[in-house]
Amino acid sequence: MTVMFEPRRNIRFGALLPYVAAMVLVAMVTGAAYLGEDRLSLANLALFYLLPVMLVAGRAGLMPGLFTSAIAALSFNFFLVPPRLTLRIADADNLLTMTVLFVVAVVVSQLGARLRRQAEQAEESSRISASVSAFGERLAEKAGVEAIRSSLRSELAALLGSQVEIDPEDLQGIDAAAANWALANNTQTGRSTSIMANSEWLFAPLVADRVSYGLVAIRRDDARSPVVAGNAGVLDGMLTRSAQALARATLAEERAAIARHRQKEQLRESLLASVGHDLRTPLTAIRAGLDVLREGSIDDAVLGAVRAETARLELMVANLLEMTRIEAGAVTLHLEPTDLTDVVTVAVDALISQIGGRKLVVDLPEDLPLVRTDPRLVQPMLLNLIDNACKYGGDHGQIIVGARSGKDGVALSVTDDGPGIPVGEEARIFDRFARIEGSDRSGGTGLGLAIVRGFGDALGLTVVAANRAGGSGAVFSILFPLNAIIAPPSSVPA
Amino acid sequence: MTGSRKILVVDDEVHIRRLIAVALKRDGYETVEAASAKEALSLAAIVHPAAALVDLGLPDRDGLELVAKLAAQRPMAILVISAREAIEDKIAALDLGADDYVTKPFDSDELLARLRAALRRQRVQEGVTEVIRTGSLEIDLEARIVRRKGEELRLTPKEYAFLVELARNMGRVLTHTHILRTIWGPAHDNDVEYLRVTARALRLKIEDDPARPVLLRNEPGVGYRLIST
Repeated sequence: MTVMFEPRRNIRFGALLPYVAAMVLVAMVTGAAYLGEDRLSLANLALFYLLPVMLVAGRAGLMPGLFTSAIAALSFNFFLVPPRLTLRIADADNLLTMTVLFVVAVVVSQLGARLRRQAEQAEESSRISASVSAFGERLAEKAGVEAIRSSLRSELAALLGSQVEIDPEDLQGIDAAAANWALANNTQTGRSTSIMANSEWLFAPLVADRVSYGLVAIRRDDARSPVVAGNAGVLDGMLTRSAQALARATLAEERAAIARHRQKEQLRESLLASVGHDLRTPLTAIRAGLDVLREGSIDDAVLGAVRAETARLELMVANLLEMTRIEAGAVTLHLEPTDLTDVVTVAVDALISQIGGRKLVVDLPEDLPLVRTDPRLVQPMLLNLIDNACKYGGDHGQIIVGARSGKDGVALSVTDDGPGIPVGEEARIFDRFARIEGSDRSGGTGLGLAIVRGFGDALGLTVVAANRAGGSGAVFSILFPLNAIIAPPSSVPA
Repeated sequence: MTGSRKILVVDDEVHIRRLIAVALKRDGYETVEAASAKEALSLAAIVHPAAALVDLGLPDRDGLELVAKLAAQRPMAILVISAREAIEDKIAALDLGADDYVTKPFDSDELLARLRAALRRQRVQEGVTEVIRTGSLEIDLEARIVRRKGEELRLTPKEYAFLVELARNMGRVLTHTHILRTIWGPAHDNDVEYLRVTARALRLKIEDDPARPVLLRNEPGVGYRLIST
């Protein structure tokens, strides 16, 4: 696009070309008139001279047209009107012919020039609208206010060969005044305008629906005017398109912010509601248990219940803290070679009171490879999966904690024999506070599975939920990819 | 060692102090309570407790600092009690000379078991025990023989060294770095993989169910301990 504004090096030759062409054409007409002179009258011959005038004026504009008119009239006089080869005109009749020829030639060249101007204007306006709408299309691909601004900035800089700033800072003196004026009155100021033209900068506000979305400042390093007749239209079009795009983007961003805020509020409300409910349940049980114990009867069942509820409370508090860490982006990784046996052992022991009367099977192969991961994060993940299995698997169900090594990596999974996951809910189940329909009995804020996914994401692990093949129950698996698997070492000093 | 049964309990929460004291008294210990690091230090100088239970979150000073000061007044077993989840604090406390730690909320039975183990270690360090037993395991230090249910086990030198280092500190967590340095040398500080492989091999030999180890336990991110049963 910069090509348009490079100085034309062949300006002399280009400007002279129509005049040379005019002389050649007039000479040709004169030659032809010589040939037809004995058969046609002078008045008719004069009409031939209008041809070069029309051609030149139509192609090259008014001045070359007028020049052609003049040399046509002179050639007619000199070569054809008797006495020939002089500029004198003997016959009054011929003087009239000669005069009419000149006048008609001038008129024709004006008409031709106007036609040419109109064609040029049509071409210019279609060029402007093409490049503005191309710019508009590129803008439409940009999402967000910042992307639009930077795209406008770079495209304008390229188009005008100028330095372009949006919402310039640290302006002094007349520049600052011009910028303020432009913003206050929604009008262009500074260089190339009628307002404070002494400023080095041209200031153009980005206005859509009378609202300003920023100020564009343009300056050429070589102190020439950044805006010339050839690009003013494109500039205005780009500014308008940008302002409209900015208006749309701003609106969209505001809407998104409101939606985010609303969603956060909703989450907070449902968190408070469910935490309130879920914290009170174990507290109530603990209190009731303590009352029984105070009456002096040491009942193992009551003690067991109190301990189990305390452990549940503990896990919920831990989960709330973990969730806060995930939300705050404060999860730091300490990757180390990890034996999943250790993680399983610690998680199972921590939940021993919850597991209660359920049957727990730990199924870890002896040759399970080590994985590179953060055991401190995998442990709460597994803790929550086992807790989930306790909740949904029934009081006397079977829970299998197992690991399998395959060609895709290692899968650490927790299987229960409860009702399983409703079809289609497999992915949603990891959403915060998601709880399977009709299972209010089981309690839990629903934070557990969200933490499983949150830590899984942080560790680059996939977590999947599925229904058990051939039988009722759910299987939750943490997948350690191949690149996390540590090949059995060839040389550990034994 | 004076045979003192006095235990210093340092925690700024009065309820926690009381509950710990009740549990300790039931087990036959005498307790001295301190609510701050300053109080703890002056009491320790007067009563010469056999052990101190120190909460890391104290109002007047960082608990870790208190651990370091108390460790200088040995012989005294130090157990750290912390609500802090941060593994770094646990490792720091162990490095500063704490014998063990428990995390709040803790189980009283667990706390008492850890305390007994720490006190027993102190006595062991004074005399020499030639045979260490836990579960069905018997480690004869003099003969360098390990038996399980009376049968001699074939351990590699590193497996034996690993097991003995843990057995000499029965019940206490030894940090990954400590074990690596002691058994493999300072050049292998970070070769946690060695530990995992050796621990796995040891479990196959000493545990009833290697998938659910009872004796050789790992504390994720911290270290290993051998459980006394």
